[in-house]
Amino acid sequence: MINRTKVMVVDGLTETEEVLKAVLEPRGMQVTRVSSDDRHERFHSTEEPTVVVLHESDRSVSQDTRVASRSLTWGEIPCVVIGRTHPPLHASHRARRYLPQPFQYAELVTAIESLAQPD
Amino acid sequence: MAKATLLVLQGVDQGKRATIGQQTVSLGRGPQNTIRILDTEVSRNHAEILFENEHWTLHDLDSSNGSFVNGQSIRSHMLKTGDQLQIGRTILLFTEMASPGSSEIASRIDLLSADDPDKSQIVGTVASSEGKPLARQASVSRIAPVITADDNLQTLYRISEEAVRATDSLDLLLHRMLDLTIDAVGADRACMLVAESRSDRILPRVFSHRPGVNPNERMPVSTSIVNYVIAQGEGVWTSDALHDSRFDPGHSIVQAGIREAMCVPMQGRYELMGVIYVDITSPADYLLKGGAPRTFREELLTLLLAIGRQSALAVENFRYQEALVTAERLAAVGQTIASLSHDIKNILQGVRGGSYLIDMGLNEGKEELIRKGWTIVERNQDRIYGLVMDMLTYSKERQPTLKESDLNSVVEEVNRLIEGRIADHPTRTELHLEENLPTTLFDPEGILRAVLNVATNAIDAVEESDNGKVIISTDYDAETELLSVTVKDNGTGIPVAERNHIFDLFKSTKGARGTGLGLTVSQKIMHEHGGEIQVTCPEGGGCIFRLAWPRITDDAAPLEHTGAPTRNESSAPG
Repeated sequence: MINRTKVMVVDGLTETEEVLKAVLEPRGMQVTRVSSDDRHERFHSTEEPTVVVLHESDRSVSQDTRVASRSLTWGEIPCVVIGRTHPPLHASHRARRYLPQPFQYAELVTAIESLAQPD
Repeated sequence: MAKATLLVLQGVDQGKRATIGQQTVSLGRGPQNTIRILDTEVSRNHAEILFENEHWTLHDLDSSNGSFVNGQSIRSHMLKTGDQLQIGRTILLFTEMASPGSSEIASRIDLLSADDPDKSQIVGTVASSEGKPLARQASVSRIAPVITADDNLQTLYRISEEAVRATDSLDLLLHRMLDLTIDAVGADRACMLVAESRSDRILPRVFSHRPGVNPNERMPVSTSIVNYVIAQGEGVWTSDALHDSRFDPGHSIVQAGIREAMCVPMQGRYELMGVIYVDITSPADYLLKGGAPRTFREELLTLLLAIGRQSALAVENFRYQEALVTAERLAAVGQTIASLSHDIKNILQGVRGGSYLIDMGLNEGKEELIRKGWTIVERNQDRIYGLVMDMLTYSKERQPTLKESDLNSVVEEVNRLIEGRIADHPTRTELHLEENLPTTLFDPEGILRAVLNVATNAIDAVEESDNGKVIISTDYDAETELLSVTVKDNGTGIPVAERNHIFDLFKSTKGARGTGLGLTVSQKIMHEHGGEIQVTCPEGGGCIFRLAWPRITDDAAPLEHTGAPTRNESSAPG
């Protein structure tokens, strides 16, 4: 059984998921999305992702979801944080990329691919 | 040209302002009125305002519930600034816009320096604290019998009433207070010198005079007296009769007459807001005929001090309110810019996503990617169109463009638009259209916008669901004469904590997909039609939005027959 790279998008904007699905799934990755409506249940029932794409500036991402995703992303899971230009203070995790919004999708795809295939 | 404004203080159109000129203005519920009041207590043709003899007059047009000015039932009433008109349950504030500017006021006042030939001498002073008990208790123990405590009470009551009357012009407020002051102290002329809010300068701000006084004659104001009043905080009473060398019967008095003046500080809670200066003149010919000089008295000075205190408090309150409004306006502008920037940024992000796929599809020769990208670009074009239309609808003070229209056609058009959006989704829509809808007037483009925003929300609410369903139905209740469109979805519903805020501007529960404008605009359009949006969230989930408004018919209204509007159909200016 092949372990597919799983990308989880924490975002209310459907386009991010649509574009990543169109680009990454033909390359063997699996893209899912957690919306603010799903809250904890769906987030925790989903198999652990390889890379999380988190929209920090998204109004739709509820505090619960952010806390939940942050507890994962701040821990072990590589993460692309959209909406930030700088790492937060005291951040030490190296497996993280920051993209200001609006961003170029080519940059997002590159960031995900680099995090999915660590050195 | 003379102009006035009518500001809605209470009623469904609260906050709206209409400017009226010299043309006749009709008020009523009917669509042909210049100012349409969507209030069931208002007759179709309720009242009109005519510009007659340089004044506006309100005439009731045999309305069912009558017209009122300042709480009094009227048939016909000449309006003055500050009057409150009650039509049905709606209260409108009348304000004349024509008032002399500060430069015009300055030209009517002669500020005399110490070197100028003003020979007035102070003949009496009263400390400003003397006016405070009068203002508080409205009774004076030291007063001469001519001026009774009851007179003072009445004067201060009227002054206080003016001080708290709703107005959007400080000059008009002070002018009304000055007119009352002239009556109360028997002055010929009066002016207020008011401290500018952004500097310490005290400048002439308002001038008034008793009827019969030559309006072209400039009012002399001694800067020495004004400076004394400001420095000492005392009210002073001056006369040029006792100490003036010109007071020589048979000589200069023939030319000069006798002039008395009073000047009091306008002492606010925290600082001096200005001074009130009043004068009185006994003309020479009147004196030569043996008439007794008209004079002020100490008790009038005490009364004037109390008026000065009230006026200062009015200025302070007005400026506080003005600062509050300015701060709120700046905050609202900031919030508007931030929210719109966020929405536009999200749309731009969507367009970039679509463009990225199109570019990749072109480079790799993959038509599927191009189609996918183009779908995303088109969707975001729709979003920016919707945002612009919502902004235009929200920003305009407008009357709905009423036409005889077919509600079912409008709803079918909404359904066509949202079906285009859900072509790739499992979501289904259903239309339940009432076949026997009566003929009615409404703004078809506005109603389309209102229903489309609600229906779009319903689609967004079921977007994640595999069996999403949105039902749109039309209805007419003959008993209540209400037309309605109901939009029902089987989504997750609205969290209880957010239900009270769904119509708030820029409050969206849809995150990046929502602008926080849609429901606000739908509600505004409903209010323009005299209607409301009711929201219910059943326990099992989902939401029901019911847009209901009274059926409007009017035989006198010019009718236009129309089907459903299209996007390219331009709306008449509101």
